[in-house]
This record gives sequence, structure tokens and C-alpha cells, in this order.
Amino acid sequence: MNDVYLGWVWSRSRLTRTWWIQSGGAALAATLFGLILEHRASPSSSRINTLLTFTLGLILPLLTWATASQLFPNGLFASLAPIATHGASRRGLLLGAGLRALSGATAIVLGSTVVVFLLGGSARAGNFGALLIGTWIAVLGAVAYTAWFLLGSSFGSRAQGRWVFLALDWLLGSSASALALPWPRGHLRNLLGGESVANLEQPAATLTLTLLILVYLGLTCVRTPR
Amino acid sequence: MTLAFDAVWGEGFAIDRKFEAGIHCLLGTLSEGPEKVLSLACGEQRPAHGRVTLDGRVIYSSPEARMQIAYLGPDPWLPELGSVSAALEMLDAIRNPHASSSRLLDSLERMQIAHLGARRPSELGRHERRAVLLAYLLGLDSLKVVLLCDPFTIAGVNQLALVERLHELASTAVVLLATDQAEDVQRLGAAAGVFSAGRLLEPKGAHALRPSEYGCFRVTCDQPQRLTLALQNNPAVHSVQAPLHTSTLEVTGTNPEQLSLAILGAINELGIQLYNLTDVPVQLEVLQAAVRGRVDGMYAAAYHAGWVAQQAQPWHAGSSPSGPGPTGYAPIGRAPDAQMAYSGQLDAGGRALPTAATLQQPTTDVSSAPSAQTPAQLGTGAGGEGQ
Repeated sequence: MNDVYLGWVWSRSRLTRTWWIQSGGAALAATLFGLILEHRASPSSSRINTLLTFTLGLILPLLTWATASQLFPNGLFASLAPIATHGASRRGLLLGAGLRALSGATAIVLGSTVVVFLLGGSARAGNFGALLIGTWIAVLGAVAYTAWFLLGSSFGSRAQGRWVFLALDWLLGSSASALALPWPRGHLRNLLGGESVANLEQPAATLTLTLLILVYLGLTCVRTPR
Repeated sequence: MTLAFDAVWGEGFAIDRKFEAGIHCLLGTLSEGPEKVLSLACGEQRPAHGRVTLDGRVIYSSPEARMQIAYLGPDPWLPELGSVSAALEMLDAIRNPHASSSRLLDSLERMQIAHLGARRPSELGRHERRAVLLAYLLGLDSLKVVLLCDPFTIAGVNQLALVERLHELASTAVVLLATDQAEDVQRLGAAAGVFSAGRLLEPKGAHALRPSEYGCFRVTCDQPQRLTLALQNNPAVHSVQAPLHTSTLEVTGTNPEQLSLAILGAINELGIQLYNLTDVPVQLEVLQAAVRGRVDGMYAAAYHAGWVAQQAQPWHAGSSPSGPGPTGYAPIGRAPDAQMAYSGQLDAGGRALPTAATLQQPTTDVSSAPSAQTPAQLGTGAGGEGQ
């Protein structure tokens, strides 16, 4: 348990307050930019899902990718090494550091979701159900992408795996075929009302995404030496 | 216990050696081997091939093994907490969840850096972090391996107390030091393995040195400073040591013939009056030259300086030889404040013993004036055992 806490404390030196402010500011700016574009394209239509797709499909992956890069610039193992030499378990450290990355990314994405809800017209329409749905999808997406890029950080001496994982998610996850099954993108799109992956219903997509999260975390744990 | 290396970490970089309890020095340009060996031994890095084990357990993948290892790297990390004391408590909790904070404070006080305990870790410079970590690590109990990277360069640390503590630890633990200074080996009376081209050469004992490949001359003349300046730029000369207040220089080089020609040529050219020119034994100089890669194909040496710090101050009563600087810290630099100089006393075994008084004699500039008695003299005085 102490190792987890130590990982949490250690990650504070990487994911500083300044980092979160900058990331949050960038995410907010991107969200507002998306709102403006969407407003110009279709000023009267209900567009909450389109905006959430933009937030969770573009901002969330980039945010979690950047967070993982900031946390483990030299790869998972090399970055954790200085603390592990004191006898801490790398897996415990990873869990603590990952929790900080997850909590920060989730907070920013939730903030963006709320902004979309408030400025996107759903608040005026009293569509609080959309906010509720958007919130839990954002949380699920944040967990999935954080786990995905933590796994990516464990590949390559300089964590080149993160780039590969980002590309895989964009290239293969964007399709609706079975090739999109192992990546988070397609399932999130499905949950937001977009095209489904391999004709999976939304409950099945939720289950699949949850299973994928467990697989990502499990693989990361297996790849991380004690 | 046994710390065993069977590791390769790059093309031509390898170590295959077992270390038992005792002090061992890895001598060489730090970035070209010794640092890496320590990094492998503490589990910070994984070798490209092979493994490093402590009592049969692979260190890289065993937190239990790493808990028994104290490692001080060139740029250590401290948890970013409210104070250094809190950060050390957190690190200590990994090894011993029930450890008391008073022990940590004692460790800092022994090194006379207790004032750093209240500061934030982010406010510490690299040297201060190293000093804090060194104090903490040396205060740990039940260690099996102690890995220190160039500990004598840490300013403000009580050198005598450090040597004393390392000898204490060495009775039950493998103490492995990476250094590029042969003086450190001598200071500890340790066995040294020399790194050459990324490989730890096999120790053969002092008899394996080949003085014929090396030259060291002691020159006594009327203008040592001018001669020093003239020789420093000569390619045949490896180093010129000029103790203060003497007219004697020690000049070293890899080729005795070229070296003697260079000295005599400079003396003739400058019109200097030569009083004496003698060649001297070369144990320490050979090691220094090996560090700088100037002696080709030299065998490694198990170097025994031949003294035991019996009269050094006890670990808990150490004091900084030169006193604290403006920040409570001695100036940062390569040179330790106390140069260990041979006082002429011998122990029962005929080995030279330093005294607390001589050990604390400050010198002004080690690079140009190491001490009134040079490392070569130390090696000579104690050389009987090593030979």
C-alpha cells in the first residue's frame, strides 16, 4: 500500500499543478473551438452527441496520451527506476502514478463535458439526462484511454509504443469492422450514438470496453517487473 | 552474501564477477562502466543480457532484494513532500513500516546536515540531495549491499566518518564504490578493479602492475612552478603534482623514456637548476593512468593502500574538517577538505596509519597541490603489503 502512495507522491513531481492547468486550459480551448465550429455548422439542431464525440474522441485521447508522456517520458520502467531502487514494487508505484494520471484526466474531461452541456444548448433544453450519460461515458473513456496509454508506455526504450498505440487507435479504431474491437475509440463512439463496432449493441460495447480496460491493466501489470 | 554479476549491457560492455562482503572500488571514468555497474546492481536498469543477483535473487525483479541494497547514484531522487525529513520517512517506510523518525534525524545529524531536514526536497541542489541520501542510506541497518557513486565528492560530508562507517558496513555487506579517483581507493584501503573499454579487468594483485610501461619521476629543482607550467603542455607528461612549500615535483607519464627526455629538455630550455631527479614506485600512478586510459593493456590491480583508519573519529561523533560554509556547507568541489596524508606511524603489521590530525589537514587546491605528502608516498609507505 505504501508503494501505491509513493507512486502517487512521485507522480506529483511529474504531473505538476502547472501541467494540469495547461492541459485543462488546452482542453477547454479545444472544447470551445469545437462548440463554435458546431454552432456555425448547425445552429439550431441538437448537437450534444456531436460535441461529446469531439470531446471524447479527440480531446480525451490526446490528453491521456500527453499525460502518459509527461508521466513516463523515458518509458514506464526507466521512469519508475529511481524509486524502485529503494525497494518499492514497480507495480505498486505504477498503480499510484496511474491513479493520479487518471484522476487528473477524468477531471479535465468531465469539465469539458460540463462545458459542452452548458454551452451546447442542452442545459437550456433541460436535458440533464444527456449530462448524466455524457458523464459516465467520459469517466469510462478516461479510464480506458489512461490504461491504454500506460500499456503503450511499457513498449520501447523511449516509450515509442505510445505513438504506435495512438496510431492504432486512430487508424483501426475508427472503422466499424471487427478490426476496431481491441481499441477504445470505436466503443466510445458507439456509446455516444455513433456507428457501432461489429454491430455490438451499446450494453455490449460497455461490457467490451470494461473488459478491454481490465486487459490493458493486466497486460501492463504483467509487463512491469516487480 | 554474494552479489553476482553476469551481465552485458552494450557492445563490448560486460561484467562477470562475484563480490563478497568487503569494500570494493570500481575505478574508471564513471560514465564508461562503474556507474553502469552500480545501476545494474541496484536494479535501476536491466542488463541487455545476463543478470545480477543477490544471494541468488535477481535484483531487477525482486523488491525484497532491493530493500537490502543502499544505492546512491549521481543524481538521486527524493519524494516531493513538504520536507526532506518527511521524504526520508516515506522512503524509509518502504523498508521498514515501523521505523522511527528519530533515527532519520540522527542520520542527518551525524553528517552535520540536520538543517536540511526542514527544507523542501525541491529546494535542494544535486549535491545536497546526494548528501541527504548518503546520510540516510548509511544510517540504515541490515544492509547487504551498499552502492555509492563517487561519495567523496559530496561536499560537507564528514570524510572520516564516511570511511569509518563504510568499514563498519563492510564487515557484513558488500560495499561497492564507483570512482574515478585512485585516491579514493587508497583512502578506503580497498580492493580495486579497473575498468578498461567497458570491461572490469581481472584483479591480479599489485604484483601484476607493469611499472615498465609507466614512468613517474620526482624532480627537485630551484623553479618548480616554471617547470610545472612547461611540463603541463607536454604530450609525454600525464600529470604534474606540485606540493606546496616544496621544491619537488612528481611528474608522471606513460613512457618513462619520453618522460625523462621531456623533463630534462624543459630543464635545459628554461635554464633551471636541477637538484635531484629520481624515479619512484608507481602503484597509484598506474591506477590513475588506467582511469584516464593512458596505459594500454594494463592489468587491473588489487590495490591495498595499507592503512586502516583506526584513529578516525567514530561515526556518531564526526565533524566537518573545515567547518561549515555560509550555508552550513563546505564549498562544493572535487577536492575533499581533508586529504589523507601519511603521518609516518605504522601499525603492528608495519602498515601506515593516518592520524586524525593528519587526516584533517586542509589543502588549498588538490588539483595542483594534493598534499605535502603525495599519494605516491602513501603508496610507497604502505606498498610493502600490496607488493
